[in-house]
Amino acid sequence: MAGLPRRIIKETQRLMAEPVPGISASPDESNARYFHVLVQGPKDSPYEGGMFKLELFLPEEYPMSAPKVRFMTKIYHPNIDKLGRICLDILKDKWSPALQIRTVLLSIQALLSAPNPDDPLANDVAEKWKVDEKAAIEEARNWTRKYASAQ
Amino acid sequence: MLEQEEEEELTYSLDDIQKLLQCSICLDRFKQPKLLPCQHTFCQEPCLEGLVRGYSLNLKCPECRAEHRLPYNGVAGFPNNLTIKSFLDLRRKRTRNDSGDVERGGGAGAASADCGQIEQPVPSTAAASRSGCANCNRETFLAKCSHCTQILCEPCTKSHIEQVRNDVLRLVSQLRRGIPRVSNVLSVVDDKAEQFKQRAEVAKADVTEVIERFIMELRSRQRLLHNEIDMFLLGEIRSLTAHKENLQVEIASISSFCQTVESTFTQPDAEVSSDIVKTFREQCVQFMERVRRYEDGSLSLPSERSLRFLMEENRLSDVISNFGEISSVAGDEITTAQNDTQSQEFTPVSSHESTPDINISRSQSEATSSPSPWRNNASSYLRDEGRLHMSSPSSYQTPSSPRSARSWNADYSYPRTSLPSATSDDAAAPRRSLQERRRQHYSDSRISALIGGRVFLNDPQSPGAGRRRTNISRSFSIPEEPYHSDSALTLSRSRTYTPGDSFLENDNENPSPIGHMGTITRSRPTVRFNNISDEETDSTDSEEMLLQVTNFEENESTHIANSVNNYQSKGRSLIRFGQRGNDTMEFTWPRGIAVTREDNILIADSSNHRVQIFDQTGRFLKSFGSYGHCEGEFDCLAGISVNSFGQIIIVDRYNHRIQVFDHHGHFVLAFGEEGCDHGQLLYPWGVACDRMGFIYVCDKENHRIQVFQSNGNFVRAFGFPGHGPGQFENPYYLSISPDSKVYVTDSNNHRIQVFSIYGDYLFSFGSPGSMQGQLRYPKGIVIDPQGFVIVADSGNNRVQVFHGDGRFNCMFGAYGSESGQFKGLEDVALLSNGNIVVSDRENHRIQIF
Amino acid sequence: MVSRLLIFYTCIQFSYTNVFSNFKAVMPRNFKLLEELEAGEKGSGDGTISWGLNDDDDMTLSVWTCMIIGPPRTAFENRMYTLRIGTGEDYPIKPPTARFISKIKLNCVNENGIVDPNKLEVLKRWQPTYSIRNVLEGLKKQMQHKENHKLSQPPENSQY
Repeated sequence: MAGLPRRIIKETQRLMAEPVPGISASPDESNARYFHVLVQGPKDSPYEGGMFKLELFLPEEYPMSAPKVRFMTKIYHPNIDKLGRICLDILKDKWSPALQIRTVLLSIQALLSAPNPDDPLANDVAEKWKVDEKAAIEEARNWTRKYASAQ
Repeated sequence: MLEQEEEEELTYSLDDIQKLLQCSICLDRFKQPKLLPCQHTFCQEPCLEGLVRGYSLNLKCPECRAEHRLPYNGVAGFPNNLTIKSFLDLRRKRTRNDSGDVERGGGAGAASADCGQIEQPVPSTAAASRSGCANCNRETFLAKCSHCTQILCEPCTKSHIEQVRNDVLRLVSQLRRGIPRVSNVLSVVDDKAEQFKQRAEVAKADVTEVIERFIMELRSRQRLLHNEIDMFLLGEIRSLTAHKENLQVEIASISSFCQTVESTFTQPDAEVSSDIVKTFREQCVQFMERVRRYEDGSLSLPSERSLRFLMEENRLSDVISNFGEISSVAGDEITTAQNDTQSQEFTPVSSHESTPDINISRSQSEATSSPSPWRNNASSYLRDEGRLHMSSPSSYQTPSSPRSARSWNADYSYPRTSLPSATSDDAAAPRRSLQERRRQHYSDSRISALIGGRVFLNDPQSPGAGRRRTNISRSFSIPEEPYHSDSALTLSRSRTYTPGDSFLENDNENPSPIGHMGTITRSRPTVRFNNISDEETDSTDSEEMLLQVTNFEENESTHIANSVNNYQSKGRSLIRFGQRGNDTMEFTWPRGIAVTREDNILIADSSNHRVQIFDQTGRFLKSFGSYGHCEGEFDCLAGISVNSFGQIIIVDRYNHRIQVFDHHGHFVLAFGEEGCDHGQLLYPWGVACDRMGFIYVCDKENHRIQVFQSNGNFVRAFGFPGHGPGQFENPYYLSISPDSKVYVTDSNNHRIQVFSIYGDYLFSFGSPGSMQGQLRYPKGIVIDPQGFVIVADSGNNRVQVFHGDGRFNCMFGAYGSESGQFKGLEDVALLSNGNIVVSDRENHRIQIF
Repeated sequence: MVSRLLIFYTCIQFSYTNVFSNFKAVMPRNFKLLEELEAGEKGSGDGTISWGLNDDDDMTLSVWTCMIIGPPRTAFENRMYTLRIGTGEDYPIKPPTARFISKIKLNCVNENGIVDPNKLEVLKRWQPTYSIRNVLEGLKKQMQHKENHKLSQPPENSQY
């Protein structure tokens, strides 16, 4: 029987037992491969004080292929598009099975602390970030207040 | 003693050791830990097995991403991590002592596996040795393993055997997984056999046909020779009959003379005058003389005529015995070039991949499609070979046989067409290079375009003429088809040129359903997208629009359907080069492209802050530029252009300036600075030059176009931010048409806007979307000498070709990294031979179509 | 310590119940829709159908604007039909809804432009593996269907 792989069970256990500070992830009631994630905006970033909702899905091939992650809260970030899709190399070609849900979520948190506008993703926000970083950071703060603080 | 030491350690770091014994892929205790060359350890199954995808030859370490070559027998070939192994065994012992402790970390499965392996010394009947177990080092009853040289104790043997068993099982499952490959090959071989059979049948039929025809020729030759012999015989017999009659007359006259003389002399009462006797005597002498002439042969008899059938028998049989030749050509000359990775990987496939082609070679028949001269030779051999030689010592003339043969020759119309020339073409195809075929194809279409153009010019108004022209071009164009099944593999993305794609203005006929040649063709029914984008525009508006459009329909491209440059047949790249990196021939986000007058390709290698120059075949020539803010240095250059003096104009994006270089790449001048005023730039991107040498720059973040003199003096600016006509949102690239119109890719408005060189808005085309004629973030743009507009439809990962008035012509490309696929294509440029150069940004490469 | 173990146990139990209910990894709605969106953006159609979000920052991924170009040799030929497809919360378990924006006469479309889910095969026999693309293809097939050939069409570009 093609059950839930032990690896996913183990990861879930560990996520629940030793949560990463500032991150919570819990599996969906009807789909053990689907996780509801909350990420706190990191300190000293424009996202500080915000609580961002994400969703994460472990595809059939996991861990041989990367989990799928998306922001469900609107966020103004050069590497995250209007639909919450994340441009992060470890979610694409740099995925490695030695990475885990935990490490992925940590990487996303780190991405919030250190946006990378040089990333190739064709994106208005990235361009704005490059052109006028100050204004962009202010905008990101506004968005955080507007969309991510209601929690 | 050893045991005690380790036990002590364990008490300190049970959890740590627990962690060290955990595979980072399955997060479980190691099962058959394998050590990679980078010193990282993972379970063999399913972790490492799962990492190896498909036919990959390499394995990437999940921890450090180091690439390792896979041993020939798969991941099992990596060495076991013996240290980890012995640690695992140690745990076993611990489990026996206090198994409850491990429960937490090891998990239920691991614990239960441990319980089964408690060692119990059992007396062994086999030849025991006392030198110690190789595995646990304990001195118990030892036995030699039956298949390897290890000497082990009983329990270790058990686990060893268990392991061997697992190994075998794994190998078996590996084998099982391999079976489909082999059976694939089997079916491929079957297919090949079938194909070969068919080819053999065709070849046989060819042979039979040719031979039959020669037999027929021989038969008719036989009839002819027989006729000639008959004729000859008839003439001879006639002359002999005449001779015979003469002789009979002679005999008759002699005998009648004899009779007369005798009867005269024997008449008793008759007086015979001496005169008569005298006459008789003279006559007698005369007859005697004639008879003597017959006797001694001095009288000419009809000469003896020889009749022989002459022929150089050996020559003909030589010809026959050497006639025809079965040649078998490996069909993968082309395929191997592109499929080498695959063939490396699984050699049996490649050896079967090449299906020999049976080729009845008839000397030059494969080089030329005209009736082969050799065949003519052969038949003239046949005609001349069995010539009837007649030798006659006399001047007696029979109808001369060579002449008759020749006249027959003239009457006989030689069936040249009966030979299926297609088969000879077929057989020749694999030998001809792909390039050659393409070239031929190109010239064909060129002819068709030329002819089409001429007919059209005669009658530019009538749509009927247009349709006629299409028909003509249809008859002239040769669909490029995969020539045989093997090359179809590599041609699978080749676009079949369907003449039906041709599009006619004012022609409201159905776009005829086009023969989709298999699923691979990307030809689509044509649909007009004149000004469809704006559905709200009422009729008067659109009429006005059309009026405006017609005012500027001066481009050749607006009234011809098929371009000289055959865009419909593009779609598979001829040349691809480059990968991510900063060596020569490597790129980091290549952006702008320009082509010099010498047909060299200039590539703005954006994040390597340099320009790389290649010739039109992709051979590296040189590069110049480096990172910085001084003269001749760049910070993420973007657009690039060559003006009519051969100077190179480069947009130095993050330095907000334009730099001009001479054609050797030496710095000439720089102008522009960051800002919003006239002559200032904000993240400029694309650049183009008109014939007068004016420089047009896409001032992207100022949402306008600026025009400069070639010395950098500001001339004018046009365009404002917005979505209306003449307004821009991030104009990226621009190009100037042969009839002096400025086409700008208004990227974030997903359209092309067209201006006069003075900045007057003329019209625009394109709307956001993925359908034909729609655009998503258009980037690079280039216009060919006929006025066809080639657009890098970046967001749709395709190249679209439009008529000068914005009507859709054709398109090619899709998302991906294969040939003809793009990831975020950036700029396009045209070589003088009509090939399109495309910078495939996220694939960090250049493709030429 | 004890509480931790308890969590573990609940987790294990919880996970196992899921294991038994999920033989295969079912892709959640949003990720499926993102995949569909990407397919549409890459233009994986044949150029005669297209789909994309109505609002390109619609994070709920629920309103889609789609286009169909009428197939050749039909009454719909060369016309561009716009329609809106709604993917509800329960998509793809439940089928999407479809409504034409451009006026059209088609047997499975009512007078308000709404596609009757009982008259369109693909909606009637909806499978969670189906996608928006299948709906559009289903509608295109309808346009090619004989019974719709003779329907006289409202003027081009008219809307509901």
